[in-house]
Amino acid sequence: MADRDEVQVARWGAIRERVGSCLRELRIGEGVGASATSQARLSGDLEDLGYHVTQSMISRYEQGQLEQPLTLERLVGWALCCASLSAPAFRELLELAGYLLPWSLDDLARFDRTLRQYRALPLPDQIVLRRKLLWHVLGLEPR
Amino acid sequence: MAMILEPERAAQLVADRLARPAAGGAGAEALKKDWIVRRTLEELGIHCEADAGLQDLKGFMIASPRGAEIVVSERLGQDERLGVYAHLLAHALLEQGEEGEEGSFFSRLEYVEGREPAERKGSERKLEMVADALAAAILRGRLDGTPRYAYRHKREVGAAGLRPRLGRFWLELCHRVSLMLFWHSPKYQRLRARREMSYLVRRVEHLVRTAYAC
Repeated sequence: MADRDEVQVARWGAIRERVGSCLRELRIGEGVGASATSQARLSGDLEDLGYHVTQSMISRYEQGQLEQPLTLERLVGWALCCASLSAPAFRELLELAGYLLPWSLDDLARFDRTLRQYRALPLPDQIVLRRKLLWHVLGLEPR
Repeated sequence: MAMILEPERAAQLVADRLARPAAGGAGAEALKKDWIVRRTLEELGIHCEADAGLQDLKGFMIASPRGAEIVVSERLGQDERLGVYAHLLAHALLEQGEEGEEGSFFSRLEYVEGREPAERKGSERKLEMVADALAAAILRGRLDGTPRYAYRHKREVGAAGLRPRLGRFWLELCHRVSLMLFWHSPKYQRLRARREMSYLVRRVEHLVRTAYAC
């Protein structure tokens, strides 16, 4: 029996460079009103969300070098931390991940506005709000 | 997917229920009002909860196809909590588009006084002023103390024919002018909130409807 899921590995191999460049676009923030997030900050924010992604992993993901696939939750978590749900790169990313988010561009822009307000809040408020926001995007309770 | 939030219905129902007199003293009344509002919102599918973790926020509302929810700070007193519920509903009403159209996502954060974002645009301050007036009307249980189009967006469809249409045109014009004044003048907001004014508006509307058979 094979140790690894070969189809998943092959699929990830085929899309990881494109995923990497989308992730980088999200972090750099090319959308309207978006701003760049540093790798260190993104790593810390993802950690707060409950996802262990180190700064060097971020760099390698963006370069399409990591062998381990990034899960849907982490992809969305990444976009949440960068307030980039309305960016074209996020739609492309979800397409690559095979997930459809049935929201309009206006809705996503509204969501990003909320994320920017959320960023300005102190940590205790962020923690309460973030639990709810992730649920509203993916229907998942964060760990 | 549609958003699970009916702000018009929620605001109307909350106002109607708050308008009913409560038995007991002032404390019991506040307690009861808090319970009534929460119960009404839950009845309409808006999940309500209190959280001890909020610091700069009094509360917030999020609505999407996944559901609608209001979270308020556990530290708030009953009156403050009521104010937050009403204010959130007022914003949901105001940010709902013409003809009741809406997106799939709505959110609103209510800040503790003095913790609001420093730079607020003029349009945001005006929105806040109007939301204050609308929230006060909800809490008084008198939504009719505000212009109709502030809390009811759907156009009415009535009898066909030139005369009824003309009647509806006049009414719509009056309601729109009233709404415009409401957005721009705190004095008009106070005037419109008076019972005599609501009575006058009802009488004029009744007369127009009778005269134009609409």
